[in-house]
Amino acid sequence: MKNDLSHGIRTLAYIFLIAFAFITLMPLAWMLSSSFKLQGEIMLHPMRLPLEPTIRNYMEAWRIGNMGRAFTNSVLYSGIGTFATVYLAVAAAFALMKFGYKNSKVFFSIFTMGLLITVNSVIAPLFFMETRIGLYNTGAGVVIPYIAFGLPMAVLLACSYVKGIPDTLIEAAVIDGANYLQIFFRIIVIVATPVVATITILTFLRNWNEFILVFILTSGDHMRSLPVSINSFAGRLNQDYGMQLAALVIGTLPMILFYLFAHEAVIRGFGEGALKE
Amino acid sequence: MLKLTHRGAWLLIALTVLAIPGLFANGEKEEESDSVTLTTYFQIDPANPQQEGYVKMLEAFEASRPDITFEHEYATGEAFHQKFQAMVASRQLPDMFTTYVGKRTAYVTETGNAMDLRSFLTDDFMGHFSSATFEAQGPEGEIYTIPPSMAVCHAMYANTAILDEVGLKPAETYEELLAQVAPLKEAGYYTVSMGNKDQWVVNSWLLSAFVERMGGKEWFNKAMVGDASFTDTPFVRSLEFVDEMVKKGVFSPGVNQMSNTEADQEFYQQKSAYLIDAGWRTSAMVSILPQEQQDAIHMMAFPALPGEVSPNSSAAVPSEGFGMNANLKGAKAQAAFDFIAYYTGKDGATIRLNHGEIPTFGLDYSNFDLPALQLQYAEYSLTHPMGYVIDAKMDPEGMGLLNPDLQAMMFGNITPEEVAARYEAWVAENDSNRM
Amino acid sequence: MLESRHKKFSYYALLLPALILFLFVIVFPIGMSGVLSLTRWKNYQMQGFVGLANYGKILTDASFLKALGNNGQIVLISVFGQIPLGILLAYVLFRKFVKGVKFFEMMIFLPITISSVVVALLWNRIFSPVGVYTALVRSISGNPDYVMRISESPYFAMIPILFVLLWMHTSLYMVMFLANMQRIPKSSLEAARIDGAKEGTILIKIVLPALANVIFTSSIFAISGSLKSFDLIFAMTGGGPVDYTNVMSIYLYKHTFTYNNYGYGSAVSLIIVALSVGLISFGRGIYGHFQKKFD
Repeated sequence: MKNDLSHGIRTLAYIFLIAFAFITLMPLAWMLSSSFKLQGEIMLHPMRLPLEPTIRNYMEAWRIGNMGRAFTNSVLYSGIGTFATVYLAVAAAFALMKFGYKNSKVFFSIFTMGLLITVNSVIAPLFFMETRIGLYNTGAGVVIPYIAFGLPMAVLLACSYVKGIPDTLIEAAVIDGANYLQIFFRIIVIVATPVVATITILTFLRNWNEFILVFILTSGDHMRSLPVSINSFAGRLNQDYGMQLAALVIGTLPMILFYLFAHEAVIRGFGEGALKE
Repeated sequence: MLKLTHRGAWLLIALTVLAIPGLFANGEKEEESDSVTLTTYFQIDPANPQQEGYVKMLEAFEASRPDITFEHEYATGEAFHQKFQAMVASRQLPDMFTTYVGKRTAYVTETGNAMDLRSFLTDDFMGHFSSATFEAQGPEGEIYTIPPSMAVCHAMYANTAILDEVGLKPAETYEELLAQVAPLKEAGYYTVSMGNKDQWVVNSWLLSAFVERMGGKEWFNKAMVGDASFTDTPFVRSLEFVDEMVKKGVFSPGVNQMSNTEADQEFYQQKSAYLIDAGWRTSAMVSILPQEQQDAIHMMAFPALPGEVSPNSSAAVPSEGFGMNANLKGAKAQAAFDFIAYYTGKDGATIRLNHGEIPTFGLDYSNFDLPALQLQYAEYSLTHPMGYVIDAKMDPEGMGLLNPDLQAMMFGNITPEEVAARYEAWVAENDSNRM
Repeated sequence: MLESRHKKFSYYALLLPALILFLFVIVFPIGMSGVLSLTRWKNYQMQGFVGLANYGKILTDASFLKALGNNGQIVLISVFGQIPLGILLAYVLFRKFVKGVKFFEMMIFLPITISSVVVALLWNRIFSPVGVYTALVRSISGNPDYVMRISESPYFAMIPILFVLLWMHTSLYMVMFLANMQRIPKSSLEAARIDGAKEGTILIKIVLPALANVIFTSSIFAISGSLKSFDLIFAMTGGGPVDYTNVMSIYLYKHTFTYNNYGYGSAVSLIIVALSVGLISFGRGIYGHFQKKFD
């Protein structure tokens, strides 16, 4: 597409975008480079490239933080939580948008309200409840809150998409004798694939970086997720930057890779899926 | 938007749930077999170089007591306390946990959840420890934890190489220190590094020592209960010294934007002549700095203040240690105490000393091959009178008022008198020491 | 009749699992907070009901009002900074004003994938008095005492944080806008160009109206996110120096978990919810107003 944009604006756009790319890449590059330095070298020469690159930080962080286990847990919590969130959100969206019941509006508002709730304001009562009913320190005890906190945004996105699915599609299926649950599994789920991709990616990112729920609702090394494990390197009175940065690289890298590979799907999903009239 | 038509019903249900903890008394499971399993929740900081000492101690203990197995859980910093409080609130406490001697874990010690260890302590055992170890931790003289070491919260480190270069000696008086600012600046150095970004630093590392210098423990004991006031001279003068130090450029620029570790970094990079920090920083220095630089570091207390009543003093607080669940009985209780005694006693203390701690348990240091800086620390903690650390004695909420005010004062937005008056007003109204 | 009963069953079969989970984890605890917010705590024990006293105390506490003001600044930067910037960036990429669209798209999206704790840590390493930026300015200006004075100002201390928030969150909106721009029929853009419309006109007359609904939904995300923002600021400044960068959720955190005043903390969290509902309803009103205009 050609355009008659003046050089000035074009240059401005370049400068801005390059600056943006720079402030995004530099800190990450520093993080990566410093993670190969020991604490002493980071403290005394923070900007220099590692003189004697070492992977000791990674070995130590991996061992002390029990990060192998934490990695598996993170994948499980985020994966299962995301899958359930997406399924429940699309199902709820179908019910709320296409059944035409009056109370749908109220339920929709209730879900929207969830956007406003911070984890910190429910964490104490939640801990209370989970210890009472035996969910504390179980995988389900982590995943259920993950789902619940993922639902508001997911329902909102799914609703705006499902709303745009032509009613005729559903009516035709009804005439063919399909019941509503069949319609959901055979039509809605298929048609909603783009928004499913979007919700999946956003929910997964959110779950992956989540800290406070896992930290409060579980105990013991074997239940930790990556952010909880990483946090243990950020002591109040002592900071070992080397180990901390290595741990951070371990936690951040999978998401960056994930994005690199899923990048097309993200954009497409937003385009076709998100926020339709 | 949302109609909470059933609000009434919700409130009722919520009330019921609130009442549940009262209905379920803590059911104790009795262990029958010889072996004992102890669950723990300890504040352990893997980024701390001294942490290796804890690990080694634990290995040695487990080897000597195969009948005891642990299920550990560790956390550190703010997060440690957040979770600990949730545990207390829902009465899901493990068998052993970290407790502080001061106010920091009052939510567990003052709520009857921690066991008073006095029935386990014999005079023979206690005799091995330094005198401050067994100061009362509760109103009736309770002992909830045996402090494994003393946390010396004020020390000044001088880089003698820099001072020599500029033709100076470590300052002996406050006036001398002020007079060193100009020549150091001339030579391209900052005078004192201190990182007060996290707000408690000036309070713990500096003000506490000043208050001890100006008033001594005697005055502080009175101020705590209301027989003296925080608007009295010792407190106000201490604040004025901090204020004056800022105004005269003693601290490196941006003292309130620098984290404690960043201040260390500035000093390690030899940009400043002095560092004000905790006494135990020596172990980090030993592991990070080249030997030559370590040798140039002279550990001292803050120079003499005009009008001080408790000369050469510093401030210290018994370190946090391990406490026991008040519900423990029989073999389990004994096993838990055995662990505490091992950790704080001769075996544990020996291991910990080799990893940079200065234990409360008396040891003959000449038997150890300690780095020079560690010996300086050991000597420092023995030769300087130790005052209170303010935030270990007073309520955390009051610190939430005092610490930001200290920063505001250092920015020149309020005066030392105002800081004192505001804090005294809060304490008089709310602090549990005055109740 | 049968059909309708079946329909009702399907409706609840689809809706209830999500609703029940949601009520259990979020609405129910908030209800408990509602009750707690009427109580007073002292020395870790509930002392009894005090009516609305907590609310009164919060709303007259200067440091809460300071936090509220800071949240206000975040709302402003989110709604009037992130969203417009997101639109502009998306438009630049959409109309391919620059080469390497794919690369820049990735650079702008990247911050979403990084957790706030990492972001805070990295930015602190840049702007602290021992940080890279500070060192650079000191060596260029020859002033060894340079630090970011703005961070120490009671009025402007939020600016560095706002800047980081802008950098972090613009990405999400950019992606949403870009994706939806790509759905605008090519023909209408071509037609406008043939008529000789300038880029600015195309943006205002064609693109923006097509995005109206997305912009509104983005504002809901922006407002609700702004009022509860915690992680980044807690890790970056902890609310300091003094209380210059304090926000409501940090205030809530301190009163709940540092001072153990559960009643007071619960009241704060309900105030945050009430404020969000108010702001979003207000936004919805404005949106409705505009929608009528467009129709």
